[in-house]
Amino acid sequence: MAQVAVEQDQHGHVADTNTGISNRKLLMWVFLASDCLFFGSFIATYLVYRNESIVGPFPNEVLDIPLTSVSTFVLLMSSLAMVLALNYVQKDRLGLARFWILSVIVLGLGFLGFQVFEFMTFVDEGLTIHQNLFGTTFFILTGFHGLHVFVGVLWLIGMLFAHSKGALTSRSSEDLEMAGLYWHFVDIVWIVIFTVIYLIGYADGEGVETIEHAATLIGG
Amino acid sequence: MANPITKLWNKIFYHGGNRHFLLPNVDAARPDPPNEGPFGEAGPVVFGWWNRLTYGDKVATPVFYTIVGAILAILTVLEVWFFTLDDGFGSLFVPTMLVLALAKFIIVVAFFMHLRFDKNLLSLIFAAGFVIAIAVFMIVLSVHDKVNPAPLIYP
Repeated sequence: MAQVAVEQDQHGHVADTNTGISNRKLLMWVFLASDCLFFGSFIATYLVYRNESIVGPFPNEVLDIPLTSVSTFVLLMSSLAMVLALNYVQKDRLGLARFWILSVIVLGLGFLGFQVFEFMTFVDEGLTIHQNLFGTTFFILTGFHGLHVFVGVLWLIGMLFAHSKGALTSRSSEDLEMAGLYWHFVDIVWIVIFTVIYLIGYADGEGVETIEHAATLIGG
Repeated sequence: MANPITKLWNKIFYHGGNRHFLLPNVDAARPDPPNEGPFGEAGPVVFGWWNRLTYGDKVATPVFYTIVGAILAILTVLEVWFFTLDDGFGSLFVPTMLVLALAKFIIVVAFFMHLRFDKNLLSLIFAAGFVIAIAVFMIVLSVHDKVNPAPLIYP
């Protein structure tokens, strides 16, 4: 018979499992580990087709770094608000917890607003999902990330609803911790996307198909 | 009988007349030093501070999280600032950006996601997924000859 370890984790939760970790938390981390593969594949695909677009618009014509820097900052601060919300729930300071959960929702919606604005601007400038390889890989990657943010916002709205019903206290803080882990993961994915696609990939321009095409680009 | 000055001289320099220098009684001099390793006696001091700063009273404080958030914001500002420099960092631009992104990644995972405070098994699970993702990432880029891509303009 397997020995059952009864241990307290850092928040005083008692998990009577073999690992001493609650099954939900273990499952969430396994899911997040698998999600690394999900986004890793999309980023790899973006890089495979980087500089391969034959027709515009190209990254250096449409990417708006100042706008994206602000939206990155908004998402980063939403992560801070999330961890503060969990901290206050664990201490049963539920008024402050409600404020910070609401802040995460507002900041998350703000990030989505920036993304919708960016997408609409791109479409106005002629970049759609079927325009070129850049458009396809960019919209798929950032669109799936935006979908993750949207799911996170819905989850947190559910948390806020549970809070209003008195169901969110220090004893049930693991509910919010699961939402928090998901939210922070979405944040770290954006950290990578912002650096690789926006800052490093900003200079990407027209791709080179053949040597003759390269000659036309340099005026030869 | 040795005069007081000779006794003092021996005490200071000859370890009670045994002709050894009177070195301070440090842990490192013990037959089985407790802090043997690359950090020596500085280890407990350095890591003690690190533990107090990051671990605190089992659960980190809101002030600590706010400091972590400020560090993340500063790293983001640095990224954007490096991006706006005219000459960039030349060939160091991409590595610099990746190092800054990695630092932000680790800070969020360690502190906001509590891997620093939680059981090591969770860190192992996430690290396993991350390493497999990086491996797949590199394989995909290698297969498509994108690890060391050909120059944009052919010679």
